[in-house]
Amino acid sequence: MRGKKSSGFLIVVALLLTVLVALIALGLLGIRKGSYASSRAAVSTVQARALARSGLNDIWVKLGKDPFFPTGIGDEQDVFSYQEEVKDDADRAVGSYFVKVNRKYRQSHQVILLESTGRVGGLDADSTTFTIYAELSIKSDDFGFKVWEEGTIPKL
Amino acid sequence: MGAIAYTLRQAGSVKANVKNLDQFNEVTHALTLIKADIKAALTVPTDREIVDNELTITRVNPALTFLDRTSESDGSDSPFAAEDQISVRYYVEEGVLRRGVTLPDNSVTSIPLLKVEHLTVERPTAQEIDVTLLTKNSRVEKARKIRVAILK
Repeated sequence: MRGKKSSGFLIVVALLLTVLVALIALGLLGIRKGSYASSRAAVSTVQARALARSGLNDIWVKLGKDPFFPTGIGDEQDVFSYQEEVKDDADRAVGSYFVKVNRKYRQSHQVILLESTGRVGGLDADSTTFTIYAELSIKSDDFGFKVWEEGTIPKL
Repeated sequence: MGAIAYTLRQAGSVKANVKNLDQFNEVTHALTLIKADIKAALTVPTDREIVDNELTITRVNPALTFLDRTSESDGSDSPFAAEDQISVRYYVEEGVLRRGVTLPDNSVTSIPLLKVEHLTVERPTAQEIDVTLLTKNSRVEKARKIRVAILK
């Protein structure tokens, strides 16, 4: 009789311990879920920033090779934009950049206003974005970025 | 008991990793800020101008819009004139990396960024600049470097 009572007590203790461990484990899982989410968000922000920088490097090269880029657009049109997808070595879409070009001050101040928005994921992805605003001097002896503001709200 | 010990070990591991991640994020944030300032810089120090534990650049005041800087529409005023510029100086003071901003009226503001042992600036090539932050905690010393291409 005494042995049966004792084993019953042990079963109750074991059950309580199991519940306790399960609760602790669930709590830890909850903490980790938040950590994973914030890590993912941090990675996406870095990727979006890199894509936005790629967009500005892209337009810098394009304008360096052809000061009248894009050809085929009349001088009366000040603002235009383009978007390009960025793929990795395995041809998977990593993200894209959306570049907006304002040529309003090209003649008067020899400056082009630029804005590049990096977007993580495919072209239609509704994902993390990061925008950089820049002003590019197009003087032949001084071709370079004069203003570079990261993490701005799109303003062009 | 083994399961509880394992769970507690995991909790300790998570706590330590979160602390390390926070420290890494602090350094990364400071380096990203420095990189953004260098990208925006009109002047960066040449190899000869580099000063130990210091980085000084000039850039257009980001508080001013393009139209704030150009009152004349005929292009007679430069949008990048001296009165539109600020000086940004990163320096280490009493073991803390600080970012000081000097406005055209010579007023200075300075904010602390993080504890560092040393700030190193190098120019490996004319088109690149390296910035290294050396941090140290109770046991480990870590150096983190960024390289910035200067598109000028």
